[in-house]
Amino acid sequence: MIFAQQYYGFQNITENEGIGISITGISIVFAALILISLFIASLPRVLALLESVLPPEAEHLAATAPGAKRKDHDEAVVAAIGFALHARHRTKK
Amino acid sequence: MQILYDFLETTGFYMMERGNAAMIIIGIVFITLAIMKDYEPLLLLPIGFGIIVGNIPFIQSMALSVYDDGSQGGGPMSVSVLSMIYAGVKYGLFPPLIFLGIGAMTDFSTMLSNPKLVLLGAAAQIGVFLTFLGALALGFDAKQSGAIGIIGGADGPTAIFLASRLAENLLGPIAIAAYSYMALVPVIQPPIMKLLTTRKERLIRMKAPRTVSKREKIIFPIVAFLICTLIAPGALVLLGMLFFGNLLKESGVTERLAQTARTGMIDIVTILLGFAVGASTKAQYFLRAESMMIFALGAASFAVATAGGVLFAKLMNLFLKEKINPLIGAAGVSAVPDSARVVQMVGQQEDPQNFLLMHAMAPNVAGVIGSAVAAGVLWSVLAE
Repeated sequence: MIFAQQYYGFQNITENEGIGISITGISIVFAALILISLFIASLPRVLALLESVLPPEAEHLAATAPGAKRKDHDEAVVAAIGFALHARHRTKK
Repeated sequence: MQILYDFLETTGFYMMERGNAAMIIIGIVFITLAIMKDYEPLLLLPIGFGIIVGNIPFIQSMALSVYDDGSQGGGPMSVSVLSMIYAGVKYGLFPPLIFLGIGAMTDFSTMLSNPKLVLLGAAAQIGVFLTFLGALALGFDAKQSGAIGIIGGADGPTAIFLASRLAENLLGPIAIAAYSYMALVPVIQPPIMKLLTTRKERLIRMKAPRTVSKREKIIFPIVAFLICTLIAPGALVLLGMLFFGNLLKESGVTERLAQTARTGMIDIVTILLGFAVGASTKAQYFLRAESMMIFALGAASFAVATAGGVLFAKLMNLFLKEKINPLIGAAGVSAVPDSARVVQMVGQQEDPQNFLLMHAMAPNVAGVIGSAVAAGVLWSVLAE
């Protein structure tokens, strides 16, 4: 049997401090999310203040994603080779 | 001939009880809903088949059930394969891994662009604590009530995690209730949303969210994790994995890891978790009056959570210059992304040109954080 106790209804709620736990619980959830909300709201301002100290975002991302840069570079090389081959074929004709 | 009779007595047909047959039918209904109605098929199909597997009767000397984990003695042969899979549920391993995958696929941009919507994710958690009181009133003890209450968070992995910590004997019904109601979000939420809002409110259009910088997206998971877990350390495992997964995604340098977390890994864990939870619903353990009470409380908690979010959005509108559409409050329950989709659907029934999905994702992901914090608080307070 699941029920190990004999209390039901409001008596069981008070025996287990249900109302206190519920009020504390929802207050803590609100406190955590209000703090997150305040942090999110202030983040753009904080980042704007730190703008002079932080490296530019685009440079940072380029540095962390070398693959993307290399891909652009590869495409340019392929285009150049293609153009050179095309020009060579035309001169042969 | 005697051998044949003896064998026939060991077959499932011979040992089948009405409860097992009823559960097998429930399993088939789950599978049917997943395939025909497309209700959360990724969850309902593994759970449905698991229910069928878990309710095939067999003789006691064969270790086949998820509950044959060797704890009764009998050596290695008394440990079933299913119990090894179920260990991921029982010891709370699978839910954090699912949170890692969710983090790696979640974009917090809409929440970062409109921070006041975070509060809607907190408001919907009222369902958790009112259900906790409801469970106490029905005679459950405090730990069991905490585990039942978290169904109102509308987050299956969180419900399983907390139930495994506080009330392992109720894990099956709680997990099934949480996932079933998550699948039924499109059925449960719309009537409540319409009942609590006027047509004028449902027609409110919201301003497009601002563009969020990469830096904000990278800093957010670290600081949000610190805030939440320093307040409620009980949420450490779930939120740690959620924000870690998100950092993998947003950092831009671990795309391979993020890709694995949000695809292969979460899929594998979802399969194992769904199947194991389904297989734990053996009729002899599952079909009890308490399970029915848990289902009733679960339905009530979803309704209360939805109402809490919508009503809080209306309350916020009393103080805001730029009004928010109160329908998005319903997305504060953390069934991601189904409740946000429901908001979009209900909003477009009034105005087909009103796109609320983006806005609803903010309370939706805030709800994931809120329900994990609520679980952490309940665990901290109720654990001995």
